[in-house]
Amino acid sequence: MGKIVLVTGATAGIGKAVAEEFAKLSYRIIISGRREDRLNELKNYLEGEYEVEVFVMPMDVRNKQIVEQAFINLPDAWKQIDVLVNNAGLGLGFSPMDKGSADDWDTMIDTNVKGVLYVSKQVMPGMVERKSGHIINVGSTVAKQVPKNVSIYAATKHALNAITQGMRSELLEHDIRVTQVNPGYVETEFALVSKKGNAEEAKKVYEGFKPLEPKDIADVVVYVATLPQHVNINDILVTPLAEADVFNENRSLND
Amino acid sequence: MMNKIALVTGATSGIGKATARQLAEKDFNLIITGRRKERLEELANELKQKYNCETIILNFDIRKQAEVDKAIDGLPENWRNIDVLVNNAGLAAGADPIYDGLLDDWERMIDTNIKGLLYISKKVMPFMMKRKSGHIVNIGSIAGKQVYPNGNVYCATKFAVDALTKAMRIDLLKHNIRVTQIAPGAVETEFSIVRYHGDKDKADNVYKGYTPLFAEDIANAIVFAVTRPAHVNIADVLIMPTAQANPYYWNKKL
Repeated sequence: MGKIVLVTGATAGIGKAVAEEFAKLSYRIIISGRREDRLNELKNYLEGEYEVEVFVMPMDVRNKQIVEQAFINLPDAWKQIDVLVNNAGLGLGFSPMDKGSADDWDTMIDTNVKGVLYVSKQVMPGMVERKSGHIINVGSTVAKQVPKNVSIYAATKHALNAITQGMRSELLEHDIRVTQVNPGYVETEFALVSKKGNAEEAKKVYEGFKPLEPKDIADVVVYVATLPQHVNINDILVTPLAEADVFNENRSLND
Repeated sequence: MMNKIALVTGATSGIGKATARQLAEKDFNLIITGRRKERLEELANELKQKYNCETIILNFDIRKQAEVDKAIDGLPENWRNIDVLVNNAGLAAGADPIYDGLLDDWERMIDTNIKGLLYISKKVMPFMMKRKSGHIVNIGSIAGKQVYPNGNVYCATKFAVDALTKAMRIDLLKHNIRVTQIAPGAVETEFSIVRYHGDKDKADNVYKGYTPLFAEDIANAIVFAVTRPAHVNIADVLIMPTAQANPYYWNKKL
């Protein structure tokens, strides 16, 4: 039987691309997300295109009971998860902190931090028992630096930094690999979500340079997941060529 | 049009040698540098035979600026279009508390790991800037991310590499040059023999009880970084043995 990967936030962007790259390697894929119709669409596409088995796991990672129930409902044949990609996450309503919305903060913290913990809590025991597994957390450039107006989003990704390091140290004796993949600008629905559906504003995020594509990050995720067992990429930072870091960008493409 | 050109420093052994091999396999032509001429010649022959790779040997001590300048100035015109510079030459010397460290060791590390990297980069960056294209890969270390007991000056040199990598990425941004740092944990090479001044028992001890990284694993990560699409920059990679979480936590079965 093929290896099993669970990808959270697989309905769009990086998560969807990650699911597709694993499909190319004939993994059995559990896709999770809130939008069940999108998950079913992706399942049909992957099964048709790559002849792989796909299991749809609709859940909102912010809801502990729903996450627990989703794992209780997971059929035995799907329980031995080899690779967990904690991808579900979002940035919301970027503004100075004094003008920030506490609801936005809750949504980011509940998804990016607590969601990762809820899902990992369900997956880690099986990996520990089998002494095998790989957890890949999707971080961000703002896990490393804090640009203004993004501080709460950056805070959640800094928290993820700590969670990744803690997981690695504590799962070390069980031979479980833990990796954090930190992307810079990737052209996804991220910008649209962060600008609350304002397409004009969202477009500006990627203006004047070539951003990463979801597949670029998916390629990195698959690279780290398929290295020999003795090799672990602890942390990898991937940016567009035009983004040296969060403070230094080259948006001169259209000049 | 000729193949892409990669310059690899410290190619006489370990990560540098493995990197030269894997880049040759990917059809790069190579400029290999190091202090030990026979080893460079041996490697050049091997690359020619196995991969039909054209190779230029630059035999210099990277600590000596005049030697570096002369070697690069002497490159034939068509070999100056260096696409990839792998700043690999480096070493750790000594593993004592800072108050017991040897000045000679400190200077060797600072002169090689920091100043050597600067000398060669200073010569190669203008070539890349002229063509608005190129990729610099610096070999850092977990020692450039966390300081550990008795790592003192070695850690300082790798923290410097970390800073220089970030600085290069920022300053070269407008010239479309990619800059990557590959920061490994424990890799089984001549590294530990050198660090312990030839004491083989101490060196062997470093790699006991677990599977360390091998030079090929690091070369593989370098090749992955330099073969990404042009708009993708692998900025920083911390690559460790699965059995080493960081400088402090190991999973050794002794």
